[in-house]
Amino acid sequence: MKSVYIFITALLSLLPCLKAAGQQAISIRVMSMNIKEGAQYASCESEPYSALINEYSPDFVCLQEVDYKTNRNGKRDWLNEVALQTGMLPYFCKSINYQNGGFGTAILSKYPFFKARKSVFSASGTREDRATGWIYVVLPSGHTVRVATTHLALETADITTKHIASVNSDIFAEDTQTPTLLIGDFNATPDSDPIKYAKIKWQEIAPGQGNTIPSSGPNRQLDYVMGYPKKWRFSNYEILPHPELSDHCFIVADVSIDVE
Amino acid sequence: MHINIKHCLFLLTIATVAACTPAEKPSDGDEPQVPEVTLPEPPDQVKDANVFIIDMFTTLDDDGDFFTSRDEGVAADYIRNQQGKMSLVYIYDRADYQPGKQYSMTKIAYNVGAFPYFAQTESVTDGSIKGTGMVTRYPIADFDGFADGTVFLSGCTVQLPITLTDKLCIATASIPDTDAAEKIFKAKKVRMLSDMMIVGTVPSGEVSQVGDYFKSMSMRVTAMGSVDTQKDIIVILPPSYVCRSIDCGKHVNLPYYRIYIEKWM
Repeated sequence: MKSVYIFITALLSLLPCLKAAGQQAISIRVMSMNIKEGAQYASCESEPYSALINEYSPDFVCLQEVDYKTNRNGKRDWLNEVALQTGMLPYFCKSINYQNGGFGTAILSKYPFFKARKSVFSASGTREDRATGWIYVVLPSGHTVRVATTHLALETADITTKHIASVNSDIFAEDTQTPTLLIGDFNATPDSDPIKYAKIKWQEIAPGQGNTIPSSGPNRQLDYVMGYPKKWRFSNYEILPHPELSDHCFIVADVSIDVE
Repeated sequence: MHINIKHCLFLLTIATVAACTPAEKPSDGDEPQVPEVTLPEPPDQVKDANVFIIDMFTTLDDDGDFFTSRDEGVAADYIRNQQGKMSLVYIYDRADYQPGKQYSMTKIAYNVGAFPYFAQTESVTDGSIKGTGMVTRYPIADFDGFADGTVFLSGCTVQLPITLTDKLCIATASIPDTDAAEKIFKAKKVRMLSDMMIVGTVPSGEVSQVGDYFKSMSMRVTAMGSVDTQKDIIVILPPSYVCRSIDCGKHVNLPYYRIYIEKWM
């Protein structure tokens, strides 16, 4: 009887290995960059941001506060400039018409995206509409991931929470199967109600890694790399303070997840 | 009460096709069934106000990246200097993309103040990725698509500049055979029967079979090619649209096909 018990125990202990054999890890490098009011800190120039992106060579860059041909940025097509300087593919998610141009979030992708969507949050009590955008990419391994960029509303904690609920609703109405990253400026600190609410559905992939604002001396965290499902890992996570480029620190992270 | 017979026939057609074809996420072994329906014919008279244009630039040969021996500046000039009714989307067959290199569509879009998109037609490789470029004047909120590792389809959803207010996804795909056609239709049949069109390419030897497949699914199909090219253009439309004509031309050394589509119902 004892030998049967040992045999069954040994068999059960092998199960995780058997499961792992059918799985493959996908690893990607992501960056989060809130560029503050259309890159005003760098006089709306694109080159300093492109140089930083090229230095880290990410697979995806999630951008917030991007201007498209506004008066204040001198009618520059800032995103396409960075796309040309980095050799990445751009996806602009306009939140609002602004100063005779557009303002919103954006994604730069090293790989082609075959599908892209945006969700615009609009609610009473908010200063402006805000776009969350996402792209679907088939990676070189053949696996599909979804990468989203967001800039959550900041007027009150309730509104920020409502915004997260709206993003969840739109993202998960489309699909709950694809491994997903939600990256950007959440406008909420780790112990706040909005982040507690976000973490019901999302995993903060690298919690406690440090503050992200102000870039001249970070004293609180507003920027996050969140993942779904809650099986993501990170092997590298850096907070990049560049006070000459933004009031937010940027984030670069190497993240991975096991997929079938 | 006035009953529009054509409208009734159209609704009947859609209902029949939707009922006879498999669901969006079919189980393995699901075969699309061919419905026995006849599409209502659009009127002979063209209503110009309901016509929009799509320009497709292509050599109709698989002879490498379109812009290897052509200049993006010339393509930008074509868009910038267009007179009369503007094209809704400019499509560039075999405008391949290589990660880390400046993409031809981004250059064109940057030059003309537009937005670039890339519809891959093969899996990501270490080098250049085959695909089709798209340039539109509008930031696209809904870039819809499908990918299964071998077949790819992507397209920009735009507001049509016509009197019949509607949105349409203008998609592109390289469709090698009827198997690929079937995969695309299975994945996107609901949109394809209502608000998605495809402007793509098909190997000349396959165009008849691929066209027949989509026709059997109640899509309107128009194809155009020439005897000495490897591929044909294929235009696949929902029943409420019709391809009125395809004109071919050349801007400097950029061969193009100007496609006139009418929403007739």
